[in-house]
Amino acid sequence: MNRSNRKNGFLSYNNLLRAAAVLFILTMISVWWVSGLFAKFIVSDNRSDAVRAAAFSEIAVKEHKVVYDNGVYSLDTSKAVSSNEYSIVVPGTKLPKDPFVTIDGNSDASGVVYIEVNDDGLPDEITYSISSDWTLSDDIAPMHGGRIYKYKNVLPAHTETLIEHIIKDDELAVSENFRDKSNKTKNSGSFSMVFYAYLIQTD
Amino acid sequence: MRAELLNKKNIVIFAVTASLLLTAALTTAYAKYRKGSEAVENTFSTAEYGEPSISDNVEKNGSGHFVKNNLAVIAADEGYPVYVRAELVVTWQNADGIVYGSQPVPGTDYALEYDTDKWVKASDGFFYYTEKVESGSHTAPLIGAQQALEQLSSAPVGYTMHVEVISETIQAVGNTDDDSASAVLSAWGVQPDQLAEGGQP
Repeated sequence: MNRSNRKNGFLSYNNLLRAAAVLFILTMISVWWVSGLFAKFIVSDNRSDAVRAAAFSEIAVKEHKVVYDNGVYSLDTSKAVSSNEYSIVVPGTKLPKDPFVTIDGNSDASGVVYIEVNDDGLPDEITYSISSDWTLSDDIAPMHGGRIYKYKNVLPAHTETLIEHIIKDDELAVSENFRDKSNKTKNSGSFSMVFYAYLIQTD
Repeated sequence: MRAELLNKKNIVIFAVTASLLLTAALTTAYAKYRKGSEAVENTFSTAEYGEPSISDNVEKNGSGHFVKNNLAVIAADEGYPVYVRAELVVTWQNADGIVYGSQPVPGTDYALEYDTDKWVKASDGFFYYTEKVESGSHTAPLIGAQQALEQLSSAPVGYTMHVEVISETIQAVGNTDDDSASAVLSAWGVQPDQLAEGGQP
């Protein structure tokens, strides 16, 4: 390739300059944008202005520990856990389950709460409803293959929050047809159900 | 020539640095404004159906006749309480297991004493145990040590008295889907703990 081809080719001096300029402009735009967001959280007092990075709340989902006694499950409300095992599921019974979401009060911004429910492995004969405080949403994509529900209220900044009774009546219902003595393979084995929670800043 | 090459090198270095800065800025901005929680996970395992078993004693009385006593039902150990019912099928059978044409008559061919404190005989012929039985536990004896199903008359030639105990259990927890009846009432038509002697199932 001769000198005139290099000058006029794809990786020519002029094209490289153009690409660098575009990248520089994009970088400056993104820095201004981020800075602009941070500028929302400027804290000032009478003596001096201080600027700090925004704080955002921690969110957790837990439920109370389930206790089994002679064919009946109940909840131990003194213990919050991240998992429960229902090792003996009997047809026609109720399984108490009360996931709840907690948000600390550290956020400098208001936020929206979402939960993701993955119950793909649950048999049709085990049923439940999500409380009417939540609506099915496609605002965000599921991260774990579940369904997304959005909480009805926007949470204000600096507000510690507890959201209970996510499942209607805090229980799952096991149908009387869950298992049949004459069909020992029906619904045999184990199943699982998983909850996640998300907190996303509002605009 | 050399100056031109150095310029191009500088431009490339600048472009790479700028793109790295852009990526870092966007990533930082994204991470700041979304928080997720750890999972809450539940696992469920289906309860099993276990068949009950029988504990009893068979002997001969002074007349060489059949006597059965100490008969109790043992619930399977499946982790939940059950209701129990049992049926006594009395026949004459020969050594080949062939059943005689007519059945022994209660009160004539055999007498039955059983525990009426904890067992109730319903009109369908079943004996219902009136309490829940814990998983893996046994009922009080249907026929106690001091009671018996005792042969009274002589067997047909070539035949002996034979008593088959048919026992069944059903979960003592849970209801129908509409909550209108317990599982036992729905399946057996009777609530054993409320059944009167000779009552209708």
